[in-house]
This record gives sequence, C-alpha cells and structure tokens, in this order.
Amino acid sequence: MNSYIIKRMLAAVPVMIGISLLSYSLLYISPGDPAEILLRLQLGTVNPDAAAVEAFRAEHGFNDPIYIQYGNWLGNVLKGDMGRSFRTGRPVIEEFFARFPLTFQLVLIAEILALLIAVPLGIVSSSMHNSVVDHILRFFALIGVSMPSFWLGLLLIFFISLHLRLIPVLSYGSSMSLVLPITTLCIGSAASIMRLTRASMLEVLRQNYIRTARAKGVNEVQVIWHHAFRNALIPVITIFGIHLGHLAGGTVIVETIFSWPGVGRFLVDSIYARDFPVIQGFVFLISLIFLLISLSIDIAYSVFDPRIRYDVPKLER
Amino acid sequence: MRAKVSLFVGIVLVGLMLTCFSGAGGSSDGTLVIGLAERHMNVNEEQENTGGLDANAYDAPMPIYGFIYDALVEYGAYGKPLPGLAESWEISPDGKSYTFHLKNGVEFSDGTPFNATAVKFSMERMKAKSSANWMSMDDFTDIVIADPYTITFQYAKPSYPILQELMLCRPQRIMSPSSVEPYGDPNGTLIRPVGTGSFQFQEYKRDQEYTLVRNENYWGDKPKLQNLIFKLVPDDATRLMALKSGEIDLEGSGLSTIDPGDVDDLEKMSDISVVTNEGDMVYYVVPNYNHEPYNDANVRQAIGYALNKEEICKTIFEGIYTEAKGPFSTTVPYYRESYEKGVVKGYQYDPDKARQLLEEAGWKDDNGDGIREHDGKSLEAKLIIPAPSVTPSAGMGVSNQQPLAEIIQSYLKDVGIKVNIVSVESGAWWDAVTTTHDYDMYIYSPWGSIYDPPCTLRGNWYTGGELGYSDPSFDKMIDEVIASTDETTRQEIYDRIFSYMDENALVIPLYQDARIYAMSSNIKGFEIPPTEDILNLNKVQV
Repeated sequence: MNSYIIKRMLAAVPVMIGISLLSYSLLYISPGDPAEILLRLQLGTVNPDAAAVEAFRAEHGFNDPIYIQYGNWLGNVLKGDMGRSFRTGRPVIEEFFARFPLTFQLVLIAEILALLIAVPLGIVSSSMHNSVVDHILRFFALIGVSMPSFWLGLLLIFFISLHLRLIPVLSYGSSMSLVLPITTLCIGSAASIMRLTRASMLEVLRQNYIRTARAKGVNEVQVIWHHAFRNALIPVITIFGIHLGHLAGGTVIVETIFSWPGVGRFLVDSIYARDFPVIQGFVFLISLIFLLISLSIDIAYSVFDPRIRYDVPKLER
Repeated sequence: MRAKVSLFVGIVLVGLMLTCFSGAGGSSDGTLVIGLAERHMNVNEEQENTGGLDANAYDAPMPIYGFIYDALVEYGAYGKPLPGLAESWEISPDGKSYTFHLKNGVEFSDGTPFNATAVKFSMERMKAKSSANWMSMDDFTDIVIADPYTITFQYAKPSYPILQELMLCRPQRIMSPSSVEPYGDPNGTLIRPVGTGSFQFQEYKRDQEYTLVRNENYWGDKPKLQNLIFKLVPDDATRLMALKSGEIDLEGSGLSTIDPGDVDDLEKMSDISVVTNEGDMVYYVVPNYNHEPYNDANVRQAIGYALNKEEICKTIFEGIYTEAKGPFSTTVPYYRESYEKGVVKGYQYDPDKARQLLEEAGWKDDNGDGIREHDGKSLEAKLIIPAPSVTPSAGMGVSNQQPLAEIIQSYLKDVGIKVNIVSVESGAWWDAVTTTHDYDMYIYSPWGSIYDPPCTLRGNWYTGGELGYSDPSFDKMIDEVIASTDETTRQEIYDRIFSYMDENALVIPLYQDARIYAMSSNIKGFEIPPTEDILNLNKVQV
C-alpha cells in the first residue's frame, strides 16, 4: 500500500507542473495588461499614468519572456514562496489558508449531509423500483439536479429570510450563517448522488449473485445491505470525491450570494484583476488538494471492495 | 409524562426560533445601516486597522470619505462651489494662484487644531501618493502659508477645473497631520484616519463592514445619528432583500446599484420609501473614428437619428432614465447652461433622415438583403460590450449592456446597418476600449470626474487621447476653455465646444441615468446630495 501511495505522489509531480504551466500560459496570452488593470483599481482612474504602468511591469518581471517568468515562479514555489497578491499585498499562501477553511467547511458539511440523505433515499428508491415512492423521489432529484445554484440560493434567502424571517438575509457572522449556503450546495449534490446510488443499486440488484442469495433464503434487508450495497458504493464514492474536489474551488456563486469570504470568490475577483500570483497559487493549491482527495478516494476503494488491492503480494515460486 | 416532554420540547423549539429572529439591522438607537456594493475598493494588509481610509489615496469605498473628511470647497447644486473648510477664496486674474481663507476654531476629531499647516500636509501627501494624470490640482509649484488661516496654492498654468477638483471625495480632502507616523510627514504611514467630518472612523471588519461614530468635535451641526454602519454586500439581489428585511436601512446611487426595474416593486412596499432625482451620468455610443465609415460625421449622425431613445428609456429603464441629447448630464456645470440655451440639439428619432444621410454618404442597399453596401463592402459594425461579471465587485462595475445592445442592433438594422454584438470579458473590454481599439462601437459614459467636462474632453478627444480622435481646432477650444479665467468667456467657449460635438456627432447620446435611493420609511430628514459620492446625513434620524 505504501509503495502505491508513493508512486501516486511521484506521478502527481508532472501533473502539477503541467497544470501550472497551462494556467501560466493562459494568463500570459489573455488580453488585458495586468499592470493597467491593477493600477486602474488602485488609482481609481480609468487611464493610469504610463510611467506608473511601466514601473509596475518592470518590478514584476512582466517584460521577461514567458519561460523565464514561469521558471522564476516555479523556483520560488519549490522554496515555499508563492509570492504576494498584487491587490492585497498579503502572501498568497496566507490568503489561501485564510479562506480555504471557510470554503471547505461549507463543502465538506454539504457533501456529507448530501451523502447521508441521498444514499438511503437512493437505496429505498431502487428497492421500490417503479413504485409511487420511486417516482416521487426521482422527480425531486431531477429538480435538484437541474436547478442552478444561484437561483436556488436566492430562492432560499427569499423564502426563509425574507418571508419566514428565520435567518437574517446577511447571515454571515451570525450563528445561523452556515445553514443556507450549505442547504444550497447540499440539494444539488444530494440529487445527483441519489440518482447515482439508485442507478448503481439497480445495476447490482440485477446480478446473478443477488438471485443466488435470495434463492438461498437470505432475507431482503440482508440482501440489500450486505450483498448489494457495498458493491453499489464504488461509483458513489467516486462522485463524492469528485464533488469535494470540484467544489473546493468552485463555490464562487454561492459565496457571492451569501457574502461568504471564501476561496472561489477571491479567485474570480483575482482573475478579473489579473492578480497573477493569486491565480497561479490558488490554481496550484486547489489542484493539489484535488489530487490528494482523488488519492484518498482510491484508497477508500480498497477498503470497500476487497477485489481492489494495491499491495498484491508477489507469488512465491 | 409524554405531554410534559412534548411541552418542554415545544418550549425549547420556540425559544430557539426566537433567538433566530436576530439581525434586524440598525434603525434603532441612532444607528443607520447602509448597504455598499464593494466596488472600487482595494484595502490591503497594512491598512486593516485604518480601513484603508487615507484621505489622499483611493483604497476605501468612495462614499465613506465624505463622512470623515471635509474639503476646502464643497459641492453645491449643479456644481456651484460652496464654502467648506474654506470660508472664502480668491483666484488671481491670471488663474495661477488660489488663496483660501480657512475657518477658524475648527478641530479634528482627535482635538488637533485645523489650520493651514494641515491643509499643506494633505495637499503634499496627495501629490506624493497619486500619479493620476487626469487632475490638475496636484500640479502646484508652491504652497504658501501667509498665516495659520490663509493659504495660497501656486500653479504654473491656469486650469479652472482645479476648484472643481478640490470638491472631490478623494484624494484631496483634509486629513490631520496626526493621522500619520511620523507626525505631519506627507510620506508617512497612515496610523489612524482623522478628519474634521461629522463622523469618525471606528472599525473596519475585513470584507464585511465599516463602522463610523459621531464626531463630538464637529464644527458644524452635529448629526442626530450616533452610528453609521456600512455593510459590504457585493450581490445586488441579496442587498435588495436585506433592504426589504430591514437589515439594511439605506442603499442607492453612489453606494450601490438599484436597477430601475426594481423601483416599482420597492415603491409598493409600505415600509420602504424610494426617492429619485435626475442622474449625473449620460451613456452614449462611441464610434471608432479611425474605422471606415465611422470616420464620416454624416454616418455617425445617421446612427443618432436611427435610434429611438425615448423607446429605449421606456422599455429597458422603465422610463426612470431619460433621453439624452448631448454627451453630458444636465447636472454638469456649463453643459447645463449650453443645453438650456438650445445649443445642444441632439438627434431626434427620425429613421427616414438616417436613411437619407446614409444614401448621401454612398451607402446603398444594392442587393436587397436589407444591409447597405459601398464599393463591395457591407455596412457592418462590431459593437463590443463587457460580459457581466460573476462577482459584481470585479471589473469596475459596468452593468449589463446586453439588452441595450440588442435594441440598438434592431434599430440600426431598420436603416440598413448590421450590428454584430461581441461580448468581451471586462479586462479585455477595457483593453480594447483604451488600447487596441478593436471595435467599431462601444457604449459608455464620460470618465474621470463627472462634473468636470475638460477632464473627459482632454482625455478622450484631444489629439493623442484615448479614442484616437484628432482635430487641432477642437484641441484649441479645449485648451482655451481650461485656461479661461472669466466666466462669460468660458461659457461662450463651452457653447462652441458642445456645438462642435453635436454637429460632428462625436458620440451618439442615449440616456441620462437617475439617482435612485431606497430606504426604510422610518428614516426622516434624508436629502438627495448634489453629488452621489458625498452624502450628508447630518439631518437624518431614525
């Protein structure tokens, strides 16, 4: 198992280099001079002074060719220095870790809740295949999957904050602040997990060994729980991991609506402002986190499915 | 037993629910909560303890400066200069010296005396910090202190907008020398924002809110309010809901954006009152003067006649914004007078006249496809619009132009011009507008100081300016008006300038916006300020 983990970590290195090189190149070729855009923001004028723009470009090495710029950045990263944000002046790593816990707490809680709600519902739906209950659950799941998050978020604020007055509209900072953003994220994820669980269970329930188990006289609950469920779980774990990784950087819409100072919103603002160090640094760190989650999921497989083993013992001859 | 347990659970639940009924905003014990849209803000790490409120820089949100800092000269209706910290002033006949007589007996909020030394400190700090080439007020050659309440600014050449510039919300308002370390050093570090305004800074919570409290040392009529809280809420829809729920008491022009489409809805609510007034911004279509055929004034005029601006205002802006005839708002000084005299004629909706002008310019529809041609080229226009940003705080907040662009497209199609709407990411849009000029048309408003036509004129249409327009005779008019020292001559030159712009269709005016303020109805004493960046809430009580 350990050698597997080490091999995966080593394989991650070229992936990270590839990702950071790609994002640097995209920044480099995109229109809009970062010096001008930033100075426009800082000096409050649409037309910043040419000398100031030149000084900024020289100071941050924008006049060097791309491979030198990228090389410098990579070299610094290996030393643990991701530079400072052009906009706030704070170190990029500090900005990230100031915000990441906020985003991740939303994402993690939403995903776990989604799992806890959706998996049982998916099992129920699949075991009562084509019944009224099944159809009702599938209907709500379809709505949940189709609803855009910004609309859902605003609807929740509208009903729960404005009409029912249960939670303040500007909830960040209050004790109930987590409720609405988590609900928004949870509904979408739960819907897709439920549909996947249902489909996967139906697939498994059709297998021969299930028929055998039933023929043997095993009771239905045991059939579903002991024989079917764990086999059906693999795709569900996969999607759980993908959601986590994806949402680690992708919650910008929910963060904007709920004024949540997380990673997504800061990153998008930084993209508009061409804040190179932040964009590079955040993309790198988010990708790294995604890779780690992905690795954890793969290891989780081996726990759930005995057929998957990473430390196959060598056969003695 | 069961009944008792249920009762207990019931009470606990009700108790929990009651604790959730929190956050019912200000509107109590003299606190007013204002919703801010978080635009134009750049507060970095070192500035957290001061909220970035350096009077001589651009970091904090614009509306806050006016509460904490006063200017020598303040904005009156339609740009008329009113005494601020200066009771009176004289401008030398050659326009190069400005002498201010300062108010006696004024103290900053921490007790530091206000005098000419403080004024000199602020002016020098502004000069040290800013490199904005759109202003003249920081180009002084010398500042002379005759006595503690008399100060003179010397300039190398006359520039009448200097007095206007001194009224801005930043970067020239007067800050106490005690605000920086070392004391009174224009290059010092800001340690605490201290001004003479009716409120003073108390706290800044990063990305969340600013808290100001009443300045007990204030030299004028002390405000009735005790606290002002500015909440930073980037999303327009969320902010509106916070207003409706009572968590915010006031939002509106200069603070945030209220869409004209929401006004009707807000007016129907009994606990919210809406106040509107004529706005300060005109939005116009800017053609590319170096692309054929938009270098032909007749073609530009034709575009003007082809657009039904009244209809545009009624459909997209609910009739709250009004048709514009010229490049500036009717609240802008000097333009207002020209406009009232009838110098600015604009382009009345007249599609037949538009078609006639295009025919005369050589653009005829020979192949019957509805689009005109000339020398084998068809009459097309690339109209670039900024793509609406996901987070409103980014991209200097240009609002969604898609509906407007589409209406323009359909009117122009009617007279035989094919418009291709290209939606461009905001950074790239600015790049195209200011540098690459990769467009045939774009839609925007005058930039720079709103009430200062020379700023826009100089930046946009002067030879070497942003838009690639060059006409030495127009340059001469602009130079003359800036150097003018006599009001009558100045107005006369402006009449010529606006007439020139009108005849040559330098821009095609579309609409003049409106100031819209929405507040909870228990707010009394709110007055619409002459300029949206500087509010005066001294008479307001909740």
